[in-house]
Amino acid sequence: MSERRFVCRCEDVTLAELDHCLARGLATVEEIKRYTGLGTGPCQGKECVALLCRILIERGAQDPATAQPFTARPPLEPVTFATLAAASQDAAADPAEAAG
Amino acid sequence: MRRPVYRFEVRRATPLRDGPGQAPALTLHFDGAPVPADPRDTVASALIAAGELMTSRSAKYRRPRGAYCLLGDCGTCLVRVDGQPNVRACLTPVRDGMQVASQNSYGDLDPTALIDAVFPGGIDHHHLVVRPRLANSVMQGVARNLTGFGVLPDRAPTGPAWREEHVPEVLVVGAGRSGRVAAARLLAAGLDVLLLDRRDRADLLAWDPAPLPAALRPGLGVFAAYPHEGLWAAAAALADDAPGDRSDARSGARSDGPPAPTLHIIRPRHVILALGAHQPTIPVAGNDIPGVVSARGLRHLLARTGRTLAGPVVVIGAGAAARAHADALGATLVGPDEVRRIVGRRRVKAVETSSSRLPARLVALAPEPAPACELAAQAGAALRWTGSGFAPICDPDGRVQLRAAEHPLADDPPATPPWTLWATGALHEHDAGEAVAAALLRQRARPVQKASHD
Repeated sequence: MSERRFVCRCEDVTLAELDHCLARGLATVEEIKRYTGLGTGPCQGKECVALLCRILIERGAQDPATAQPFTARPPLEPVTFATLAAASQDAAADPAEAAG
Repeated sequence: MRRPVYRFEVRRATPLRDGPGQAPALTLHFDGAPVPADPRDTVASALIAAGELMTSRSAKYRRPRGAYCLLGDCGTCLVRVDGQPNVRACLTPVRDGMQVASQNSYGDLDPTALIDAVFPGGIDHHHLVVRPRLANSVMQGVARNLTGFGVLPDRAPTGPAWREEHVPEVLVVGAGRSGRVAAARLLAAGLDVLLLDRRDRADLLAWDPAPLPAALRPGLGVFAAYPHEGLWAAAAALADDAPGDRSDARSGARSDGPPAPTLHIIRPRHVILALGAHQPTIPVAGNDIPGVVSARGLRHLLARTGRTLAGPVVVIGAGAAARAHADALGATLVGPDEVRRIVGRRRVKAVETSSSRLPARLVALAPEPAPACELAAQAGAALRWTGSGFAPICDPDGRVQLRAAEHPLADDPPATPPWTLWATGALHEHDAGEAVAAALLRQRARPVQKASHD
């Protein structure tokens, strides 16, 4: 198996691909997210975005004083569509709630 | 003491063994094969103990992947449990007879070698088969089929989702040490507190044996904060949504599916975030091979299950915390710069350094933890770089500065933040929960002011 070094395992973004981005002049968290898909998998950036910022700071591409992650959008945890469907219903008569 | 001997131990070198006095009383099935398990196991710990380290293949290079963080954060222990896709193996307690299946794994086929041969330098999907147009349309069709993760559930829930509304004065998110202490202090002061954590009680007590406050609702993961709407949303983090708590005896409810899930809507006046920190990966070669886990998560798994290590472990990391992890695990510590590569395909076999080859049944990464800042950001916090991640900008008491709540789509004028927000634990100077609770009580005791003067 070839030796790849992963920055984002959800979307298979390697250090080599990050170098490719930087060589093309894409050097911010937002640009790299849009170009590689980094941070858009099931973990939603919990494993990778801090590492990405750290690499960008170490390479002088990012000033630590202004570093920001990409926007943390809902949902942050895996949630089923069946669960989200309850948001648009009238509150269901819930026996557990009535008892509590 | 007689230790039971398993087929698995004969067939392959497994990374974990039963703890003292432990005898697997349960059996789950992984891709059809029986896997012995102890009642204290999670799906992830039972699979790792049986040497079943691979739970899926990755999105692009189709590489074998398994559980990494073991703490509920990363995306690669997702398995299919009793017909439900994308269940986190590391958070899910085992049940006898549970049917667990890997996802996107192609059985015994191994597409990785083919992809490595065709794309030795990596796949640049921006320029891959863009022309000619016919080839592009074929490629797009293949790519669309590859991008999904898992397949749809076997059955729909027995009925429409429930909705449960909560209006506590204080919502505490995270029941680790700091969250537990803060919630207990506020409860003792007579406040109406709701304490949520996505982990179950066994996991929380393995993390820290301190008593769990009565305000705790375990197994509920908070997945969003909506400042403009003034609410937080949570859902069950486990495959079963509190089975047996209620009967689905509604008209039209079916009986042949999983229980209907519940959406929890919380409208708190104050919120304390005690979410701890994530374990980022360390970008050494082969850092994605099944059996590469986080050192923090591995120690937690051992504490929860009572299992012990059955073979050598190599810890990769730098600094005092990495040294402490290596000592606690009885493992060899290697600095990230010394690692040439982690060796293995479907499981780790060794860590190669410039001077040696260290055999390993598990490789434990010990990165500098990154504070779990995401919910704070959604709730309106500004973030700062800490050197290892991002944390909300707080005053010395842990009170978070909030932006006005803007709706992402509507043109409504920005509104005053609907709650006060506080950070503790890894999110604020490693406060142990005492200081933040005291500060919230002081602030609450002040004469009532208009929120805009705050």
